Amino acid sequence: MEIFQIAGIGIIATILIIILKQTRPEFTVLVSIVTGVIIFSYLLPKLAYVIDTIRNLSSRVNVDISYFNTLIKIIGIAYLVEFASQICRDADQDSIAMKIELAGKVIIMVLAIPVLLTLLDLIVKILP
Amino acid sequence: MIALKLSLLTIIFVACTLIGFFYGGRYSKRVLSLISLHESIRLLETEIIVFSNPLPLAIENIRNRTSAHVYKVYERILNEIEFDQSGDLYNSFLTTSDYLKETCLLKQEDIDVFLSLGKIIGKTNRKDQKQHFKYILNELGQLIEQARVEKNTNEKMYRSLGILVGLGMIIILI
Amino acid sequence: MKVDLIFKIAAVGMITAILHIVLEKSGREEYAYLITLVGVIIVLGAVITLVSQLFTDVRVLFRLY
Repeated sequence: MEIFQIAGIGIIATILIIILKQTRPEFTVLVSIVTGVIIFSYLLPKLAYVIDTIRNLSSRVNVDISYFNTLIKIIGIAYLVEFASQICRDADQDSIAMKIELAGKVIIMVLAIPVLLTLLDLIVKILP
Repeated sequence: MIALKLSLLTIIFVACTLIGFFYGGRYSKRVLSLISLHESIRLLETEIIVFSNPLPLAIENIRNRTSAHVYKVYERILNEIEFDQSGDLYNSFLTTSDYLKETCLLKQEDIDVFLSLGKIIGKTNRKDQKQHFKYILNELGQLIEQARVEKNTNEKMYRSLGILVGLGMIIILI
Repeated sequence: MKVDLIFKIAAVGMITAILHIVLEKSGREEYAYLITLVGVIIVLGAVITLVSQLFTDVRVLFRLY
């Protein structure tokens, strides 16, 4: 079970950070980044499995594949933004974290515009 | 593969530690050289002031009685006195400055004090020389004290620096 | 596994902490600061390769081109 490994890594990293915090606070951020990356890379294969399953399902129910790709991209951007902004928060840099989140939101909005346009088209078509 | 890696890491660690120890050892070598120089100059003073020996004989006597650290210094001076007929003792002293700097690891200020001995020795009367000897021995004593303080702070630092840098390299390379 | 990088970073941090103390005790604060900087840069080099690998993985997975 991976969950035991992940939990163990998290606890060990926390202990190391507490030890380092008194003498060298510069290294605590690096330790937390590496811990985050390692936990994330444990999760990536699982996520790949989920996405493959959803893709199979969508091809079966005959939905336009481009919309589905947009959805996947938005999820990916959300993950990355969360990852980066959490690292910034750990280092007490709330303002940078806010800006990263803002950038993520804007990019997600840009990605969503084609979907919005087709939705509007549909509404216009339906309306008499 | 693992054995190779392990042995190479051990070599790196040992090398770093040894470099640190040698670098720290320079400071204690300077102290030792200064102490034996001090001792030998005191012997020279007795030879000249009390026994009134001529200089080549006095220097030969000291050479035979002094410790191994500065044995070579007096040997060189003796050779130079035999070789050099200009009669200026300062020239003979000057030839030892390289040796003092490189093998005894003395600093320029220590060498200057020692060379100033060559300027006054055998040139003035006994009373004057006695005063000069007193001054030079005093100066050397102060330099020894200074070198001791320097050794105490630096030797330990270089040793731990060597060990820690070795450890750090191993951790980075693992 | 990449888990040992966590221990490596922590060990580098502790060694720089000890070096800092040793250098500070013998009155060389400027070198102490430099040592910390070098340690952070070395560790950052290792961390950045790991993060860039993660980013390429995420890019491939979510098709973020």
